[in-house]
Amino acid sequence: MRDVAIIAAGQTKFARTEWPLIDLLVEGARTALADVEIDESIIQAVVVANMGAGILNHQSGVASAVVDGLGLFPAHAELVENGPASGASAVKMAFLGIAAGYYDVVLVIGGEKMRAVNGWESTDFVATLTHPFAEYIYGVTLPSMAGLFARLYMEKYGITPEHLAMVAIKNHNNAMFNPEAHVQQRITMEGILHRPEAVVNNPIVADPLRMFDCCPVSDGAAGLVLCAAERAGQFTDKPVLIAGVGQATDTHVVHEREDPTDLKAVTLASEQAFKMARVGPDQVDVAELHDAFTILEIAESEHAGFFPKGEGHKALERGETQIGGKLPINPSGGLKARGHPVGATGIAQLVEITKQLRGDAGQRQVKKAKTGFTLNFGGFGNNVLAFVLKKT
Amino acid sequence: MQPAPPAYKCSNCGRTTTYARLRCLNCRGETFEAAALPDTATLLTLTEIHQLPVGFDERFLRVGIVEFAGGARAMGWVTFEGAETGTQVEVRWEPIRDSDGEPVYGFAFYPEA
Repeated sequence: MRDVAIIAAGQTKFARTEWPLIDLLVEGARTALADVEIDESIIQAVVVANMGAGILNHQSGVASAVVDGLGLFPAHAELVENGPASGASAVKMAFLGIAAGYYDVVLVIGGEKMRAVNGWESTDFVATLTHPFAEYIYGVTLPSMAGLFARLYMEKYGITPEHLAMVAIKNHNNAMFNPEAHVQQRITMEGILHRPEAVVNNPIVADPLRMFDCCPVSDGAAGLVLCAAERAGQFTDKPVLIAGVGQATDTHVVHEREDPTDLKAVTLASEQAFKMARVGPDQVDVAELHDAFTILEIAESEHAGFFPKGEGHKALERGETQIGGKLPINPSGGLKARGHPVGATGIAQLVEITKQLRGDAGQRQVKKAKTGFTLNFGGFGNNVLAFVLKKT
Repeated sequence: MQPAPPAYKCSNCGRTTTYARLRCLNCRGETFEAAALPDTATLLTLTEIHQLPVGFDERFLRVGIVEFAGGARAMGWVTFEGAETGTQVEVRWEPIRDSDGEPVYGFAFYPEA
């Protein structure tokens, strides 16, 4: 297998947009292409990540339409759909094409236009990834799947609502320094939890989770240009190596897992990525985890191997996951504040780590970052991808 | 009289699920037999959903996961206040909503008599 490098990275601002889906994806690609001087005719393939075009935007043939929008004929075009992990899956497919020697240069774009529909409809759209007969018929939502998980996890490990709020406060603070973040609003423990008006400011969504425990519904797109590492020096003096890729699946029906608090796919995907990269979790300088819900950042930080089980919230208390801490998590603001346009998220995580390893992350820069990690969580943990990136 | 809750026992390894499958999760067996579920179960976890998807007019829904003696599990509606993890519930299989005028059956959990 050949080594593969990221030579360009970019994203649109995550927010509500009036752009049609294809234009949004094209704009996401343009942000990546603007990050490198490249003759675009050498791009051999475009891999597009999107979860909901058919449901949300009444659009099919998305990848072909994006190539048309970019004028990149006759580049190959494929659409990858893997729920909220579509972005990371698309990067993996591009990685494999280059590593195998079939391609040299591939553009990867992920995007979602979720706010084309109202909140009830977007909630239902995401819920369609649950099991149709064992889960969906009961009106479950993804926040409620997280609520069921959170209750168990919190009781098992002594996690409090304050710990969940600490994740939200940290990631909102980080997003203040990310101009592309959807939510740029500082929040306080008092304002979202302790003052009487908190019940209005921060209502229950699916108990024990409140509004500020959940990511926003976002539109947005993100893109990367991947290249055979041996050619990366032709285009940039700061290529970032994709050193490890891992993936694992788990049961569709969450309650079929022997221990519903065990995110086995997170553990397996992370272990595979670390093994391939020949590094351990203790060598990671910065991580982007899939904090669609605050409880997930804590649980994933343990299952990925950064902290022992039941210790993630203690590391959070000690400030270890803040920028400047031992392992900064979600310096971009994470899904919680950067936003979560589902098809874009896995790519946006890699965009952030690429910027961090290049030293281009501005006021949210993690000092001396050489090795980074991303975790993109599909379904409710039934398809998870992990990446290890290294500064070259 | 309400129909019995569905339960499908793998003829090969005995693992039971509360929804139909073509292959067993445990052994990939492809033959199943109908099984009887106990009338009661233990609530493993629950949540109260206040932001519901399109199609629900309720102010909120209580959803939980139960475990039956023998290990089979099911999701369903928790019909009463005050339930918590570990609560013993009575399990019923009953119409929980309509779809195009037809009843949709599902699990509902009631206080144990």
